[in-house]
Amino acid sequence: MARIVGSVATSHTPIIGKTIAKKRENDPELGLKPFFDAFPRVREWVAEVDPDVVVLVYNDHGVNFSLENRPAFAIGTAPTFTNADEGNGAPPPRTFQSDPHLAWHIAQSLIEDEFDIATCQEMAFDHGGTTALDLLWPDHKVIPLIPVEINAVQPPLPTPRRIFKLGQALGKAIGSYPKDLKVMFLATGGLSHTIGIGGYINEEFDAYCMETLANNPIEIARFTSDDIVANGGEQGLEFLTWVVARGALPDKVDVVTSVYHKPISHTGGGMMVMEAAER
Amino acid sequence: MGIKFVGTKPLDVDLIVEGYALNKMGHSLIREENRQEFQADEDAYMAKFGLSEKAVAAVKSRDRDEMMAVGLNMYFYGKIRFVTGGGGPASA
Repeated sequence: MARIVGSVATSHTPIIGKTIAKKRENDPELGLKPFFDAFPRVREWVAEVDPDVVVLVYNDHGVNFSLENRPAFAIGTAPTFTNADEGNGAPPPRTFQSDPHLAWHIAQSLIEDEFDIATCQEMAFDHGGTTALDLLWPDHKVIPLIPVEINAVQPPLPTPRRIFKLGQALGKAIGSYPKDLKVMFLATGGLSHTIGIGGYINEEFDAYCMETLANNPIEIARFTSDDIVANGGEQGLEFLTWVVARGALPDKVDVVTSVYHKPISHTGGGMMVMEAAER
Repeated sequence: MGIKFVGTKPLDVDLIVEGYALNKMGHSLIREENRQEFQADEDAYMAKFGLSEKAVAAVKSRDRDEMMAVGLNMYFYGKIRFVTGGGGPASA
């Protein structure tokens, strides 16, 4: 049977990807060293758990989805995906491999679990997808990945409670897949920020979100999406990708490693690795 | 813990309706040929998307808040900012 080895959640602010591409992680001018310094431990953990497949939980940035069709939840079910021009020039083309058998199993299981998720036979990742991958695999290692996208663009948005339950349903879906596969969740986004505007970093709220997500995630469900915006800015909603990745894990988790660093451009930057607690 | 609870705010349907054409135009700018077309003749490009006079004026102002006031979504704002020379990432 397939099993979940754990969840990695991280910010995906564009400057992170650009810094990796230019190999400027230690550049004091950028001030991002404390964030990047946390990642060798993450990569070590990833090597230990050795995932066969990654479920990549992210929010599209008005690239793959326009407002012409805006599902609440979507899953990529194609054998391959590409990266995307986000409006500021086409990046060097990349192709990402998937595992369509597992993806369609997940889609089927979610629908049976009353999550009517949209299936995508084509999906182009923006930095929301690629940044986290590059933090974990700077060498662009090929690892099959299944994208799960949640709407953080335009209300009405799925509630935090619903999003936590989506994570639980994803966990159930993977647990019922007959093939022996080690599956890792990778959630990307957050933490507090509003695009292009300084002053929305809320360190206290970010700390609360990280701590509560690990230890008492159901408490996050008492928020509305607007509560999260009121505290963490409009794009603070991206934290909900973390909630999905947490929902897929058991009630008790251990935090393997984490970091909080601000500012990463105009965002509160965070990373957290969680795995099922030793019983 | 100073967490604010505001509940769920009502949707501003008028703004969603008004902003759709502008957001659709913003999304179109993820393609290089469309960015070039916009830059070659901004008025013609906006007319193609049926932008209201208010929306056209907002884009021409290059002012973020004016564009937001006619329903532009932040995720599409970055793409318009980029093509109008505002720089910065197209999204974040």
